[in-house]
Amino acid sequence: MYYYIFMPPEDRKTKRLYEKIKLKIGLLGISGEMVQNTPLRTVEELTELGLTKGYNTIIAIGKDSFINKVAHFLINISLAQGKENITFGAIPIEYNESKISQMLKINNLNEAIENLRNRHLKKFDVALIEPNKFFILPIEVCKNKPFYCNLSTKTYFIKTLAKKIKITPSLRCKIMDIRSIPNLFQKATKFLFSAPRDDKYTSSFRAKSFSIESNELIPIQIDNEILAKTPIKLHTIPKLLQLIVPRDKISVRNN
Amino acid sequence: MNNEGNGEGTIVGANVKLQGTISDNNDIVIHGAVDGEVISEKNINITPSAVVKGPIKGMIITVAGTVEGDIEGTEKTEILPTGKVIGSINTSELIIQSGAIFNGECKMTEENKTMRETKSEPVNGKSKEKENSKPADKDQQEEKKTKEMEEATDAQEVIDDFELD
Repeated sequence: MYYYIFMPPEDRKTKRLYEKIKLKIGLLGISGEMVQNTPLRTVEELTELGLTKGYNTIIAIGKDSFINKVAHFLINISLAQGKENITFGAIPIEYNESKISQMLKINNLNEAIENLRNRHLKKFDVALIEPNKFFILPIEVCKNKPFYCNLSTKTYFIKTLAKKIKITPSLRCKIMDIRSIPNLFQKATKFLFSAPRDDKYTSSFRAKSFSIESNELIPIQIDNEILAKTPIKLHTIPKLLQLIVPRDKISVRNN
Repeated sequence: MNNEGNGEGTIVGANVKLQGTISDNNDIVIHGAVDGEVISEKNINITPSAVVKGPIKGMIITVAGTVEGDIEGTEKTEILPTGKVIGSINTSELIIQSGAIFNGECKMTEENKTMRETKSEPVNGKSKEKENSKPADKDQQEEKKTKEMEEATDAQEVIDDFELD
């Protein structure tokens, strides 16, 4: 049985979408308990309630930041209660620039709900911002202007001026300089150039743990929601969270 | 050490200053300044804007920037025209292109000994130093053999001319 946690709807369109989701879930035979985050019942309380009731599969329905929040509380509570074999699923309500839909490789609502029925599981890496902030989607460290920052791992130390830093849950870090982000003119004339330029101003590295410091407080965010501020220490925990993903597809070429 | 076998490697951007040891199972590309060791199980590319102060160890090493330290390329080491190496090189195959600067010792391993040297011509008053290489005794023996072979073929050609006559 599944436990569905819905994000509060922001408009009528989202409410109609939720009704559509509930109908499809019922038709496919994967219905379960459905709850919605309200000011009186926080996401943390709802997640803990679901685990206490014995549900092993928690599904979050909403935007990227909401889905990440549910995953964060799910991991924290299941680790605290010593619960294993907890499965997490997601139904994004936006697909155009949704990182969760790119990560799970789902293109629309029908595919997302179909995945839940197929129940194909895969373990994903989870990253931790000390002391207890987990994230399963790429985060961004950025401000409205470039900032000086120091990144240090166990073996090396980096000093740079960055415009944006992107970090994945497996701690693949991309530091983008102001020159690596195209300005409006470059974006508009991009179609004139067929071959992409070599970007020598973007740094990329991976580590099991590193820390980021800056002389000012830089926000760390997912989908414009702030998770933390610098200085931060990050670790990756490989294959901690079990997610419902699409089945692998085999396509046949027509010769 | 980055343990992804076939994944993305490490890139040090042009505006980055790095201190310490970079080590990766995949390729490493350096555009910025590194003060420390660079170790890869695959290829290392030092681009024209890079400055590395420290030893470099990899499979195929391409130097187009400045390296002050020892280089160990297990398969091949290539210094491009904009490259400058101050330190020793220990490699199986060495390519030094015209315009490159190399100031140090070179040791070639006995397997796959090939050394190509392009003629260095002074350009704009720059002086280039030739590599200081010490060919091993086996190299000298091989050179003798090739000379003997050439002499033999020359002798044969003379005989052929007589026959034609």
